[in-house]
Amino acid sequence: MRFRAGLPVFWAENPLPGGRFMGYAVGMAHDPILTFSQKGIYCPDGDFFIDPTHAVGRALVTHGHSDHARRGSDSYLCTDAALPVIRHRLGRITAEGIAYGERRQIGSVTVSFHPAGHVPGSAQIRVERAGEVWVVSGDYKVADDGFCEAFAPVACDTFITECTFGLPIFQWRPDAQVLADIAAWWAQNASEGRVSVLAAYSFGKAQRLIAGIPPQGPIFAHGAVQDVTDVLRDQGYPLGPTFRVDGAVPRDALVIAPPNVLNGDWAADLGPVSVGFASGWMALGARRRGVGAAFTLSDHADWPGLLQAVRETGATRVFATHGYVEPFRRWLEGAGYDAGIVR
Amino acid sequence: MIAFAAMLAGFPASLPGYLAQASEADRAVAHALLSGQRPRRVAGLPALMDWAAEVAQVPDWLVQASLAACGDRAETAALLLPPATGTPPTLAEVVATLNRTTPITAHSALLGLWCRLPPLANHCVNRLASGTFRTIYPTAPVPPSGPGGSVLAVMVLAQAASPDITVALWQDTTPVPIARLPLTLPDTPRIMAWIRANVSKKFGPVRQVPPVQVFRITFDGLTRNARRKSGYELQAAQIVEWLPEAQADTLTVLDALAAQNGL
Repeated sequence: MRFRAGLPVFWAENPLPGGRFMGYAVGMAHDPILTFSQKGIYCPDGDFFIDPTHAVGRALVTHGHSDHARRGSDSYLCTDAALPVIRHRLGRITAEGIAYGERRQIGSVTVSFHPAGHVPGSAQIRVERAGEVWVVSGDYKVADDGFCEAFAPVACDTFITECTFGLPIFQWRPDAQVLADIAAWWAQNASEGRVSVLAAYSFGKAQRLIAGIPPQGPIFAHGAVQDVTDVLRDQGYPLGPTFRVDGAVPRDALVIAPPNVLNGDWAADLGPVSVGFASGWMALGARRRGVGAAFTLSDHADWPGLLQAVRETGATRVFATHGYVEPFRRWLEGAGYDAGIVR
Repeated sequence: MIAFAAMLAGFPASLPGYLAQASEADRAVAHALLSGQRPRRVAGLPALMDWAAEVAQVPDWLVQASLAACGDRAETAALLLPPATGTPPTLAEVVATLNRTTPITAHSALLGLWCRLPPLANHCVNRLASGTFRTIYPTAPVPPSGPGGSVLAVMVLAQAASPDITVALWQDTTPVPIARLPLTLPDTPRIMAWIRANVSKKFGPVRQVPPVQVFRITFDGLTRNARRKSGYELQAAQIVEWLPEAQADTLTVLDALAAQNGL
C-alpha cells in the first residue's frame, strides 16, 4: 500500500493543458527519488518517509520537534545527536542513530544526514540514487548560533526547503545584539525587583538562550524546559546550571518557560514578574502586541538566509514547504529555478 | 531616533528613562511629538512602500505578499529595507529633515534617513513622514483635550435591518466596541454595500465585519461606565466622516483616549 502513498512530484506539480499530467514518459528518464503524499515525503526506492505526518513503517527524522518527529512509526532513523531528545519525547520507539555525514544504503538509494543549524542534532537529509541527489532541508538556519551544529550546505540537484520566514520582511539581527538586549532587560528587571520570565520553545530555543545569555543571576526553567535541558547537558552540549522552578524564585532570576504555560496562571507563584518572548515572529509589530518584552530570535533562516541556502546547494529544482510557500516559490521561479511546492 | 522608537515600543527604555538620556534637542522634540505636534507630512504610505521596495529590489507582488503578512504599510516598508550602515540620525535630526523636505526632495531625504536606521526606528520615521504617527506609549503626557473631541474608530458590527454600526477602539490586539451609532453620511449606501459583501459572521440581525473600515467619531465627553464592554461611554457621539483609505491599525488605542480624557 505504501507505494501508492503519493503521486510522483511531476504529476502533482506540472499539470498540462487539457488536464493531463506530465509523467514518466515525458521528460523524465526515471521515477522521482522522492514523492509527496498525504503522509509526508516518501522515497519509493528506499521505502521510507522523511518527517512523516502519520504513522508509517520506516521514518527518517530531521529533528526532535513534534511536528517532525511523531509517534507511531515502526522504526526511526535520526542523527546520533538528535536521538536522546527524540527518545525522551516519543518514549518507547525502535530507533537508530547515525553520525553526521555517514552514508547508508537503504534499498537502492544512499542516505546521509548533514547539519541544519536549527536545534541540537538537527539534520538535512540527503538522498542519492545513481548520481542524482535530492536534499530535504528539514528546518534550518544558516547563521551559526555557536550552540548547535552549524548549518552545512549540501550540493544537490533538487532541494526541498522550508520557508517559515520566506518573505523579505524577515531579516534577523546578529544574535549577539539580541542576546545583549535580553541581558539588559534581565538586568533592568532585577534592579526593579522583578523576576524575568522569558517565553521560549522548550527544545532548542530555550537551550540556545541558556547557553547564550551572559550570566548575571540564577537561571530557572519550567519542568518541560528543564527536562530537555538535562538530556542535552548529559549529551555534552555546553549548558550552564539551571534550576527547576518549584515555588518562588529569587528576584534576580531568569525563568525560561514554554510560551503556552504563560497563558495560564503558572507564573502566579513567581511573585512580581516581567514577561518577555523570544521568537522570530517578534519581528512583526502585530505579534508583539500584548506579549511584554519582545526579542526577535529565530531558529529558522531569514529571507537572506533562505536565498543563500538555495544558492549554495547549486540545485536547479527547488520545492518549498512549511511557510510562505507560494510567494517563495514564485520568487524562485523568477530567479530561474524550476520551482514547486510540496503538497 | 533609535532610543525614541524603542521607548515607543515600550522596551528597553521607559519615557523617564528615555528623557534622562536624551540630548536637550531630542528631549524638546520628544515633548512636542508626545503633546500632539507633528512634522511636515512629506509622502503617503503607498509612496514610502514603493521607495522601500525600490531600495530593497523587491517586486511589487512580493511587497503585497509581505504587506498581507505584516498588515501595516509603514512597518512593511521599514522591514523591507536592507540593514543600516553609518551613524544613525537623532530624533531631532529626523524631524528637522522632514520639516525642510519638499515633495521634490522627499525621496532622497527618506532614503538618506532609512539607510542609517534599523527597522523599528524606520517604522517610526515612516509614520512621522506620512502623517500617520500616533502616540502609542500608554502613559505619555498628552495635552488635555478639553471636553469632547474626535477619534478614529473602526467598524466591527452592523445591523441587517438598520443603518446602525458599532465602532471600536483597539485594546492590545482586540477591537473593543465603544459606541453604536447611526450612519447618516452621504456614503451610507456604499458602506452598506461593503458590509453586505464582507459579513464574516451573523448573530441574528447583527452582522460582524472585519475591522478595517475607519470612521471619524466626534463626541462631547468620555465617562466611565462599568456596564459597557469597554468600561467607557462616549457622550453625544456621532459619525462625521468615513475614511476609506485609512489603515485600521493606526487608530487610537482605548487606554490612550481614556488618558487624554483624564480617566
